[in-house]
This record gives sequence, structure tokens and C-alpha cells, in this order.
Amino acid sequence: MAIRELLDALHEGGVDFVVIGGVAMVARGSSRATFDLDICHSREKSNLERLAAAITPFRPVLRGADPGLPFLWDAQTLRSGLNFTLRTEVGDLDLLGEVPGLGAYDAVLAASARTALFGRDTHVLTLDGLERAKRAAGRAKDFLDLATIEELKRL
Amino acid sequence: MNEEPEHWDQRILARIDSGVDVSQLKANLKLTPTERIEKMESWVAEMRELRGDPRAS
Repeated sequence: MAIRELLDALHEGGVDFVVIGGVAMVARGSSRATFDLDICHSREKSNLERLAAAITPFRPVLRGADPGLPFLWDAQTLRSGLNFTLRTEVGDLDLLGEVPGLGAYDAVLAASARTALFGRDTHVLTLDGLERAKRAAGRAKDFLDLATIEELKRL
Repeated sequence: MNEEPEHWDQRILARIDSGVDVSQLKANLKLTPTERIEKMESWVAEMRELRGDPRAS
């Protein structure tokens, strides 16, 4: 997975986004691995257009979908759904319009902090934000992340 | 009398050891966020290589 390439494309495309999920956990100090980049994006029409354009060069397709299933990647497709799990030429990318426990982009942004990633100022979910999201998601893997967050907060 | 923790995860943690390796977390916190991600990506690439996954490189 080329996290840097995806982040560079999002920044260069002027996309409003927050890094969430496993990459945010790792950026905050977790030792866990992740196989995709998860972001929460603004649902503003102009942002959806920028997001669609930024990702187009990586030839995104729906992850896990039948390869024969027609899929048109553009802002209209993004408008028609809230969350997308994508496979791209540089790695898997999950796009979320809302995050359980936090809400839509503005709430997620408020639960993030600017963090230097690969030389760029990037909004990344804080430990508190991750804790709220993981607690709401409530899956087994979220429990392990919550235990890690608790330890990280003590350090 | 001890109060029951507020959240579901805290109630579980009150009963079992999570097994989180704090020494690894301490080592990670000495790195920058970028270095932490690069370390994780390197590990994922190695695991994929071991599995013969074409996405290793």
C-alpha cells in the first residue's frame, strides 16, 4: 500500500479529508497493521468533485465487487453513496462520509489534529476521536484498539 | 463498593488483560507519525512477500 501516494494525491487535489481508522491508529502510536487507508471526506459538492478527480489516476474499483460489474468513478457516483470501499492501483482506500460515534465530516474534523505526515500538514483523528469511533463501532478488533488507546493515553 | 466502568470496553478490560505490549508503544512514540506509518508499511510488505502476495512490492 502506498499511503504517501494516496495522501499526496488528496492534498494536491485540494480535498477536504481526515485520516481515520488504522492509519490514524498507527500515526498516534499503535503497533497494529492495516491494509488500507480510511478517510472521512466532506460531502460538499465541490469536494466530491475534487475527491473524484484526485483518485481517478489510481483507477479505483469497488473492492470485492464482481469485476464484470459496471462501475463509473466520478463525483455523481460519490454523491449517490455515503461510504465506498475501493481497490486502487496503489492500495485499498475506504471513503467514509460519516464515522459512527462522531458524525459527518465537520464533527470528524473537530475530533482531529493537524499532524505532519510525509511532510504535509494532515488532519488525523486524535486518540479521543479514535476512542469515540471505536467504541461506537464495537467490533472485536475495536476492543483491541481501545485497549491500545487506553495504554497510549497513559504514556 | 467499586463502581462499574462506564463503557463496554472498560468493563472487559477490568476483567481481562488486553495483552497490549506497552514497550512497543513506547518505542513507537519515539518515532514521528510518518516514521510509524513507514514502519508499519514495511512490515505489511514483508508479510505479503512471505505469503507470496503480488502486492508485496
